[in-house]
Amino acid sequence: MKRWSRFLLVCVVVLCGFAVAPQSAVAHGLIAGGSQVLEVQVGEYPLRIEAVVPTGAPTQLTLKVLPLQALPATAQLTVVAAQRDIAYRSEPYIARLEAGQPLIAVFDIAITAVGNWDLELSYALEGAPAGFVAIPVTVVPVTTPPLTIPLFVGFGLLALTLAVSILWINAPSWVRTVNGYAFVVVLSAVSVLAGISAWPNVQLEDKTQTQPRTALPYLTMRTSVQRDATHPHLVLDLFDGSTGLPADDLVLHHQALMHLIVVNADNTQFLHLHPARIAPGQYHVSLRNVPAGQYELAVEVERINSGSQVLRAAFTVPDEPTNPIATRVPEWLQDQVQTTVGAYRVDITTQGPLRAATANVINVAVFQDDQPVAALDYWLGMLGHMLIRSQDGGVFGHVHAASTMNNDFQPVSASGHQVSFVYNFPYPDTYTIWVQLQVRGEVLTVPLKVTVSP
Amino acid sequence: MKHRRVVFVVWLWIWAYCCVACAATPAIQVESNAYRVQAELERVGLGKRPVVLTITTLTGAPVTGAQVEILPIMEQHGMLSPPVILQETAPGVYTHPELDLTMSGEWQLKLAITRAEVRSELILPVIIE
Repeated sequence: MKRWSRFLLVCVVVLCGFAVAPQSAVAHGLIAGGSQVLEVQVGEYPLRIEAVVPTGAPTQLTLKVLPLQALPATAQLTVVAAQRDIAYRSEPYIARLEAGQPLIAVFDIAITAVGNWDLELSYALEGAPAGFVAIPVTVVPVTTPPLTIPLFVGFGLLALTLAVSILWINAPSWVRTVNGYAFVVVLSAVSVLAGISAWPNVQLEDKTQTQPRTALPYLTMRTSVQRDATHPHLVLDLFDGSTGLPADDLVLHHQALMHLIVVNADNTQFLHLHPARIAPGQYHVSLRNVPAGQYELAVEVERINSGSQVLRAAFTVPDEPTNPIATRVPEWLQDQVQTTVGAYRVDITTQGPLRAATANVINVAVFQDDQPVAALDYWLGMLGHMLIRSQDGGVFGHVHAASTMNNDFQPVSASGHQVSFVYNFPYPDTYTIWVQLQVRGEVLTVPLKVTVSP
Repeated sequence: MKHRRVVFVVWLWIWAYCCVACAATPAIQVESNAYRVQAELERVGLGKRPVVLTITTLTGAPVTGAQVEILPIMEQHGMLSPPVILQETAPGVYTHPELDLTMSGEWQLKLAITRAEVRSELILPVIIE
């Protein structure tokens, strides 16, 4: 009898182990259920924002805001939670960030119902409005996977049969017999259910997904430059390619809802920004320090369940700004080049001449005072980014360093001073590439020109 | 006697369950119209790892003297990893000590086999956990 009981116990433990073993999951960018980190240019300053979005309601949502650049004055941050579906707006949540200090503002926001919310974050510097972003958040209801209740009932029955066999030692023989058969039947059922739930290729209905699973069509974009009292702004309106409706279903793509790359005709001006969403389908970025002239832009976004896409356009900045950004002329990269960015020396090497339709490796190493830096920061989830544009304008590329990913909210570094980029230049041409790395919180941008041979 | 039967049936169930669980991770093997390739590499963990390819013809003869290159492609995140050229360590066996797979998810190892100036390409799908 003892052996029988021990055997039952082992069976239950083994099955519990199978049932609770971690399953693989794919997570990429949706602001719903768990921690989501994004970077966004709000007014003149880049902010790093984490939204910890629980499922179900009423509940509490935690929003953390970290300025990536020292603020020139004490900032008052205000967050209003607005539910888009029913035009509900919460009372404002207010926090203050002192000037010049890398502090994090934390908001615990009451979410009263499931659905689509905008977290309207605005800040003022010395009392004057300085920036606004509406962060889209979807709160989904708590649902139980279809096999959970049957599995728990099965485990309960297994425990019951185990208890009967252990505690009722002098049970009549018919009880023992019934108990034994019940155990086998329930164990069989639980085994099948656990197997189905653990089997990687079995897709059961997932009621936690509120969004469509089919891929969405292409986007169209209107680009306009608007001017307020002090400086021009770039406004980007996204529309669904099939319906013409505002497209407001972007999800995080490498820690931003939108990556905006701006270059001028001779590639001497380069910006990699993350515009703020200010209304459904509408994004905004300041052009305060951008010199007058003609520019090309590439917008990299990802619609939900649809993969990423790149939209390209041109615009003109009409006015001369008061404080233009420094011009940095691209250097030529043959097999190697050394360049200086601020306090750092950046060495870039290739393994021989770059060739089209070949996987070319470009190695980047960072030094300070002729010593390798101890670590590189994760920026936008990766240890390095490389933007590429062909001379004829036909190619726009965004390459990530061959490294691990990290999506933590707090700044994270990885030991080492070099990364590699691998890119298959589609055809021979002269390309301009911008290598971007972050070291000790500072983003280093190195523009280079390369000739890609046949 | 009845208990022994019950125990036997339960053991059968657990044995079958374990067999199914193990069968869920099949060996990586692909075939083109010229080659059969079997790959051995660690599929748990990120970073550099050795890779061993056994390449034979469709009749089972080892493929010797070929140049074998792997380009790892991570389509899910739009990223390439540095390509590696494998060394032949035994007839039909090609190895490299440092194939760099830096992310979890589905990788496609684009395999190029060049022999007698004829280049063949195959894709080895690998899921890294």
